[in-house]
Amino acid sequence: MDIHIQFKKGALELCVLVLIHRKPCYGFELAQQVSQYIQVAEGALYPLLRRLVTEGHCSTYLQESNEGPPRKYYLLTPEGEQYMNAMIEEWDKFVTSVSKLLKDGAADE
Amino acid sequence: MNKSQFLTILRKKLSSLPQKERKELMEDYEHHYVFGQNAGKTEEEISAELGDPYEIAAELLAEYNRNRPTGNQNNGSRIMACIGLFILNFVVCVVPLGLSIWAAWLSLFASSVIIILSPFLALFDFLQNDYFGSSKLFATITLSGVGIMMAIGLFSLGALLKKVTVSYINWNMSIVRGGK
Repeated sequence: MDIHIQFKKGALELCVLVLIHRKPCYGFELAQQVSQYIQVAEGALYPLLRRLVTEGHCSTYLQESNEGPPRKYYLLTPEGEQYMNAMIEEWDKFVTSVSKLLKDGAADE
Repeated sequence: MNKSQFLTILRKKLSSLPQKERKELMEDYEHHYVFGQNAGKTEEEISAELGDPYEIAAELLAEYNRNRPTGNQNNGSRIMACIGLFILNFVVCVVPLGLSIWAAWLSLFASSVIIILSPFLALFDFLQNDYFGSSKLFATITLSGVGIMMAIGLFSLGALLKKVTVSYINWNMSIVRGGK
């Protein structure tokens, strides 16, 4: 179970990068979008977004809204885009390798 | 869990963060509730989606500390730790004591090597002085056996000493780095 959580946390970073690359999002919106694909504790998004900002992968801007508080939008910086691309490549390699391993194992049995 | 329970736990757990950081983080979560309620969710639903506030706080604190590795270990306390270790190491004589134990071990080891080799020394003696004494030869062979046993004992003693020395050095390092 715990492994499962760590697993998702790692994937969450990639998902967030890809989503805000498509279009800038505010925290709540991002949480809704991520939840459509993977089940994750949405509260974990904010520590992650914070880290992405301090590491320079993301920047933020505020937009006033008629309903409710101002929305803090997150967008990808050029460095963040590079980081995302590198991560996608890593991810693809990783997934391919693990799938291959699983398949090789199944063939032996 | 409702909104105020969630936020209270989070605020309390984040109390060690600087005011500004904490305010920003709390705002993120407070706004999350407002947006969620605008989207027609109840406070309980939103709390459930957010997850465990204790876990979130732990993560936020870890994140914060990771970015400021020297934040909780300022130079003042580091210098104090160095002075403390200096006193322990040199005034209380841990280092001289350790060195002399090692020197004793080394000299015992050297003597065991010599007495293991003593039959050969006896042979050399016979050749040099052109005589043969069987009692002398047997005495040195006995001595050699004693030397072998001594060396075996010294090896395990040396391993123990090494372990103690290494862990003492590591302990020193960890204190200077900010002993966690």
